[in-house]
Amino acid sequence: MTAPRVLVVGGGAAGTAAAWSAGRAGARVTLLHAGPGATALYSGALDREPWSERARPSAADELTVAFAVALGIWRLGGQPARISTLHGELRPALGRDRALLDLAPFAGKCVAVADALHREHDPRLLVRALEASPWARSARTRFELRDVPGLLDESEQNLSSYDLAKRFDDPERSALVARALTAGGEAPAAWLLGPWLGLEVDVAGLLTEAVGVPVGEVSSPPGGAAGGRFEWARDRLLADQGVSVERGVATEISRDGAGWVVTAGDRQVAAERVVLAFGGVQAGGICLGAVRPEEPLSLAFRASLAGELPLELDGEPVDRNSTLFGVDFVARGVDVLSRVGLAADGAAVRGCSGLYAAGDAIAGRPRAVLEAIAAGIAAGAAAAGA
Amino acid sequence: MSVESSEARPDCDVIVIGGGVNGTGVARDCALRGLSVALFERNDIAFGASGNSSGMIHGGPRYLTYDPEVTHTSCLDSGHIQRIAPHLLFRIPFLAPVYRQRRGAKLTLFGYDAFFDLYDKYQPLKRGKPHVRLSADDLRRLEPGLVADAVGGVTFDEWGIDGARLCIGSMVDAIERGATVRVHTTVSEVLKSDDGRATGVRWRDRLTGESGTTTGLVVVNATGAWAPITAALAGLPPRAARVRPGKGIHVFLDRRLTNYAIVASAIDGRQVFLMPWQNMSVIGTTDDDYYGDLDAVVASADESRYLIQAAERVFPSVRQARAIGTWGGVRPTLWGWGVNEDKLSREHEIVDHARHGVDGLYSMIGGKLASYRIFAEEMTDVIAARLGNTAQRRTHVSPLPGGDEAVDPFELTRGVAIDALTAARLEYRHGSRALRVIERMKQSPREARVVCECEPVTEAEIRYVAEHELACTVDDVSRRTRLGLGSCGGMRCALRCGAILADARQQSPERGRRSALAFLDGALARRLSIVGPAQARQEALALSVLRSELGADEESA
Ligand SMILES: Cc1cc2nc3c(=O)[nH]c(=O)nc-3n(C[C@H](O)[C@H](O)[C@H](O)COP(=O)(O)OP(=O)(O)OC[C@H]3O[C@@H](n4cnc5c(N)ncnc54)[C@H](O)[C@@H]3O)c2cc1C
Ligand SMILES: Cc1cc2nc3c(=O)[nH]c(=O)nc-3n(C[C@H](O)[C@H](O)[C@H](O)COP(=O)(O)OP(=O)(O)OC[C@H]3O[C@@H](n4cnc5c(N)ncnc54)[C@H](O)[C@@H]3O)c2cc1C
Repeated sequence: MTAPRVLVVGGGAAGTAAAWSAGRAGARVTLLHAGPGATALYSGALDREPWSERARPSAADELTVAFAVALGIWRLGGQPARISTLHGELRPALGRDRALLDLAPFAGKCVAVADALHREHDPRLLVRALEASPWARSARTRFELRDVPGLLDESEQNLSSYDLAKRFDDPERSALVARALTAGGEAPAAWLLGPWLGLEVDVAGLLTEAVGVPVGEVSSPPGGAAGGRFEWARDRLLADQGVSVERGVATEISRDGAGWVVTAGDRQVAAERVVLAFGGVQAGGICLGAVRPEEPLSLAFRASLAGELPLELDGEPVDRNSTLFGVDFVARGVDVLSRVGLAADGAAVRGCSGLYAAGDAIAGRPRAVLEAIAAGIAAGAAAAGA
Repeated sequence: MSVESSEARPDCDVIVIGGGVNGTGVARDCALRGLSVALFERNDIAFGASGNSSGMIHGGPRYLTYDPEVTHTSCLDSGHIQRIAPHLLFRIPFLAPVYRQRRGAKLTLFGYDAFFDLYDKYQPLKRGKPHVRLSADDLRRLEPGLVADAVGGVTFDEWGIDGARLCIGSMVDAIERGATVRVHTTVSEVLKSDDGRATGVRWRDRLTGESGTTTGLVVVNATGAWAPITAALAGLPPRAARVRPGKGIHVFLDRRLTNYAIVASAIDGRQVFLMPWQNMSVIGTTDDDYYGDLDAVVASADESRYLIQAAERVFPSVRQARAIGTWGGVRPTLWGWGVNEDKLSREHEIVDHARHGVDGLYSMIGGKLASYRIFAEEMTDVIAARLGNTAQRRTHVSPLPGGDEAVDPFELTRGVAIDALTAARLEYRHGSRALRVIERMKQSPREARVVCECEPVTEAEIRYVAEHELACTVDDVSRRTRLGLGSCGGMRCALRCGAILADARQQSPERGRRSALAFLDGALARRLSIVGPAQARQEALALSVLRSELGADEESA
């Protein structure tokens, strides 16, 4: 039997994991994506479900950890981490982008916060928030604002975090930063910096080595460095695996004998199995409202609420719009946006043989990176299976 | 003082209840005439109709045929307001197209022309330009996006203002002239002497829970649509200060679609408008009787769609824009029985409640943004006569804070790290007082940081409005600066603003975070009615951002 052709629609965490696992199972894989999705906007923290202090600690499964290792930019497995959000909340996370500083080991110690002002990051206010946080208080972790001359120059204050991170990729720049961090004063237990420690280069790792204490960053704003690192690592992983990657917006999916054909612009891609990992509403995968091709609004996948793919909300099928303009959010609450999605039994799209789904595209699953990866791995394996 | 009293001296001469355009206007006028004033505002300054109006300092051509007196006073006062707050006014040229499918379109056009001939007589009062009659070709050239079947149209000229900034200006001026202003402080009772005279108010601070009483010689009920409720606080029947509450909403779109404001007819024949506002577009407005909670006025889906559809009929690309928010308020219209909402007069009235047995209590009923100054002056005349004050009237010549001299936005950018757009917005909101905000940036360059990127608002301005304009919450900052009202809905800036505010007010970071969340909740409630396919993505993104920053809701075990 020849290896099945698998088409993955979506290049976020779920789609990448699906392509990786289908490839490992021997399938010939093509991945089609339409640019940044939720994963490209995420904060750098890896959760199984939106975090809360109360959640029971749980470990990531082996395959997810293996995927993280293959991707090469994440720390996952072992003890949960304690990371600082952009606004100074100290929150638990199962895993993290390796540039994020894990504060868990620094109970009772003093962490230095580099005083470099950026429009998305105010170290003074950050220190205030960190010191007031319940975790820091009970762990007796202290935070100290330290002047680091030359860390950012004034003209960089208004650059986006993403563009700034790109500048830190320059080896001369990171050497300069290392010197500035070691310049004076007693060495702190760790350094906490803004969310710009490199895109393609492990700047946090380089600095940690050069400075002699852990150097890391706070979590990223939406569309910041963490998402950029994911996209870069994804492209490298897929290239290494020999997955062919195409850019385009899928607008239609239809049956083609025993398989499927997906239309994207003027291209048609045929495959025996298709994994739908086109994300939730924020990725543009699921379109609300009727598909009205005459309108540019409906960059609609046919998984529209009016379309053919089975959608579900709170366990009920969604088969028509409640109003002319889409869903009535006054009546239903805007939260439905994070619950609506494809109806699936496990990885299989309900009632559509050869069609699989993963990640935010599926209804009623927690919207989080590790959930998307676990689902992607399962969908990729199922699609590649006999 | 003409009022003899054996009692202890009252805390002040005049107590004003309500911080809308009328309340702040009276407080300012009284303070200018040397009276001591205490103003109480239940929510925030400009929280009511004044901060949620269409913001037109118009002469109201719609009143011309049945109430020309309103047109005259409004035009006259529009001129005065331009003089005292030039920075806050902007010209709004309107286009009123006439469409072919209407019966007798040519006749209608002729009628418009004649009508605006009449209106032109009032234009010089407010430095307005006379109307121009336009051919179909002219219209197409001016606004290519208009539907093509117009036979022609007319232009007419109006002025716009940021109503909230107008109220803040009056408030700041009153404070600088000795008035005491308490925001987030509701009046819970109007105190009376044994013989029924109003002697003061009992109040409660809704943020801190603190309460107390303040005594005065005169009490002014300037609570707009709340007026009947306020009258009841003095033991009067609500009809003693009766208003007809007319709810109006606006929808705003993420982009500037037109260069002119455009008049359109809604499905029921009412006139609505589509208007450019800075980098956005605004569609307004509705007018419906409203008997709901005045502290929580939000647009319904029906109202929003009514407006969007009306605008779409004349300007189809409205549909391609993303509706990013709504605002709504309740007009305190003079009571009239059984009249269609639109036919009610906007004229105002002072009710002396001596005739209901409460001497010393007055209610200001009705009025418009455009005629607030005259209304406040009439009220202050009554108070002054009562208290034997003979000081000159000065509100038509004495500039509002920042209105004293023009500053060049480009000059403002010298020596501080802000761009010209940021400076221009700052200058618009603060006039010459923008220099004070700039001065902060010179003292502390980190305050030049832009916090809200959509609008744009700097840290210096946030700290300035917290220190000098009584902003206590993120919502208050937003009302004064427009922070968080752009296309991202506060997703990127609300938490940052909360942290800065908490710092400026020496409160815990947790307080700042809660204030930010309350703002985001409120903003979401104002958006829910317009979440269509395009806005849904933004909302989903905002939900994810909040969850990754603040975690999931933890239900208490
Ligand atoms: C701002 C933000 C912060 C977050 N923070 C965290 C966090 O701290 N921790 C955490 O665990 N999770 C977080 N999440 C959630 C997490 O990022 C998502 O649950 C997860 O990334 C979903 O991955 P996905 O692959 O299912 O979808 P996405 O990453 O959205 O990927 C969808 C892919 O499908 C493509 N696509 C869409 N439509 C089409 C089409 N028609 N044709 C072709 N391709 C298409 C897109 O281009 C994209 O590549 C956050 C999300 C956001 C938005
Ligand atoms: C949709 C809409 C569009 C409009 N467009 C225009 C326009 O284009 N041009 C124009 O000239 N006019 C316009 N108006 C009319 C104008 O906005 C109002 O007439 C004017 O703002 C009324 O001001 P006010 O001070 O009387 O009332 P408000 O601004 O409503 O102020 C009343 C205040 O009293 C406070 N308050 C209530 N109870 C208490 C209490 N117990 N203690 C303390 N404070 C209390 C409230 O919180 C509120 O802030 C419009 C109105 C609306 C609603």
